[in-house]
Amino acid sequence: VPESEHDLVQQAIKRDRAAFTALYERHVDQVYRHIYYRVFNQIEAEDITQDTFVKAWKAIDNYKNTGAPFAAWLFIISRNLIADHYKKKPKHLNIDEVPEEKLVDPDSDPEGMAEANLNKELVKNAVLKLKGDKQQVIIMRFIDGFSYEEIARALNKNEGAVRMIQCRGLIELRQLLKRE
Amino acid sequence: MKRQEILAGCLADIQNGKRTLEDCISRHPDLEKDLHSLLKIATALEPDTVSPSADFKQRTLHRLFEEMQAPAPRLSHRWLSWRELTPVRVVASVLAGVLILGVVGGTTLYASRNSLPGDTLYSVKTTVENFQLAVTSGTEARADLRITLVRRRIDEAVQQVKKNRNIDAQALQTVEKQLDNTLKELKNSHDTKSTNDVLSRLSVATLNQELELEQVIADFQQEDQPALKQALGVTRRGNLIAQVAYANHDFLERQPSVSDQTLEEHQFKINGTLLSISGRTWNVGGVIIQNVYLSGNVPAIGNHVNLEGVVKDDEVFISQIAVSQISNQSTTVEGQFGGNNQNGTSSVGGISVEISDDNIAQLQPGDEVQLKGDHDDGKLNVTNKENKQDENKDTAKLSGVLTGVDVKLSMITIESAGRQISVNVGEAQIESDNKRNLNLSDLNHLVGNHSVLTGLYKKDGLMYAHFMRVEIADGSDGASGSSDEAGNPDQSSASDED
Repeated sequence: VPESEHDLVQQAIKRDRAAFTALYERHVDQVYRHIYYRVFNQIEAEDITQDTFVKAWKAIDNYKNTGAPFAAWLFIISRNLIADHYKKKPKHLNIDEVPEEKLVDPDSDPEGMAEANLNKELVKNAVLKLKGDKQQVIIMRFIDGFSYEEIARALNKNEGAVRMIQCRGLIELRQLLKRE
Repeated sequence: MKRQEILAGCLADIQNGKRTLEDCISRHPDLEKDLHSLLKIATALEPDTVSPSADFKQRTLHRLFEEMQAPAPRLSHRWLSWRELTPVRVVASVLAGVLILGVVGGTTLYASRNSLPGDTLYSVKTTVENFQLAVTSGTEARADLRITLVRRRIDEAVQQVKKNRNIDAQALQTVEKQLDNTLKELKNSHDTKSTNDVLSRLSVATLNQELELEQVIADFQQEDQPALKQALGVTRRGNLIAQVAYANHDFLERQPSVSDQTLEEHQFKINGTLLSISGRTWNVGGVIIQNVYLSGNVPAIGNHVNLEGVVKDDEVFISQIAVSQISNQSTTVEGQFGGNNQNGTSSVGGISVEISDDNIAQLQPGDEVQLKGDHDDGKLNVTNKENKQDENKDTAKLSGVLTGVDVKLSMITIESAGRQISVNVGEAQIESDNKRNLNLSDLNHLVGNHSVLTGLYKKDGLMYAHFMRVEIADGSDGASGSSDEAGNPDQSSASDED
């Protein structure tokens, strides 16, 4: 019977390599997808994923169980690494790279936008322009599939605040999509 | 309540299924446009359908192991729980720990990580490794550590060649011991999932090591270097054993060894109608196979089957089986010709085959052959013999199920021992087993079929192949109904990493 995540984390905190390896095996795909969404480049996603797990191993003693999934802690680590990554170089994905025919009509109103066939890459590009918690919440909610409760625990906020951040994030996305 | 708070609440309730869009609109009609547009955006937010490559995951695992072996940031860290410590282990751990730390100190330990055989610090490195092996508990953890040590020895040998230094044959020989000890530990494990996880990792690790050794032998003209050649053979057999054992745990029970060169000679493929099964004796298209071991479902009599496996000590371990209900009278047996047996049969890939014609003298032991014929009265009447020597025979091989094709990138994905491995086949010659040339777009219709890649090599971290053969079990050029998964019901559990 596979060990529970809680047990594995507790063992990993005690520097049990097998437990941490098991956590790595469980979460590497999810962490990679999360990072790939943000950097949209295989090599960079691989580098940051690798660094995330190495950093996690080094910092596992500092892990505090807040009730959020272990993956959320890994995402928080990756957030800092991604931020460092973008400090060093500009974002790869540019709105100009999206084929013209796939762009939403810039004159469309919110109602018109509801009818438009939103291009996934365009929306993603807009997500990457969100700042701070708005981007984090939108990605954790829609890309990583966390519940409001899990996000709240991971970000040390209450659920109401997370709902508001999500709403503001979506509104800002709408503005970004209209602007582009 | 502010408008934005109401909007946020509606969005959350709709997503959680507490309220419908219509409920929210009927209560807050002024929010209709906002809700529509924001929900539209929310539905366009989807995760990318990407997965990290098996090669990357393996590399990351190696880096993690390296990091894990660095001096621990806290002195209180330990590998074993006290309950797991036997008195012998306690004494060994304490003595080894005191000795190592007392004599060389943490800085020296860390510095020894990159030492090569012959360096002053190399003995520190191997002492630490032995210490780690002594105190690491759990089959999986120990097996993983051994896999890491194998990789380290091969990396060291590669570094020595690149630095024009003499290879330490003794250090390289430990690869054989570590791999065999890994297999022994897995044999004693009762945790099927852990065993499969380790076999899966072992399969990828040995394939990578095989490729690295091939590369360094070719690049630095080391063809005559016996230690490297031996290590290459050992990793190749390690890969073969991992693949077969992953699909068939009975094979692991027989304690295969990477030093057993007959394993490579006793690989076989048989394609024919399953005529009868009596106990462990199968008649496949006139070929009588005794002592058959198969993990999973036994196919129904009358089906056309495509078998692949290994013979060890007169026992036959099937590692791959594809089943087709399409009737086909012809039978093929493929493998290395081992000569004639005393009972008048001939050995092909370790399988005894009764060959009814008198042309057998044309075949020489060691030849890779394919016999083709019809089954007549339960016996194989060979109508065609073909010598299948090919230039890629002695290169790394990858076999598994074709699971994905990206024509634009010339990449395919093969599932092998529970791992998805991406290979660039842009420059490869691709053909079906009935020798029809295929192009990349043809492969889209052959996803799900068993495939073999040979002439593998790595460049810039990517794996490439010179040759690809896709098996089409029904003998036609199409892919429909050609195979199913009847032979490997355990695969899903091992590939399920969550």
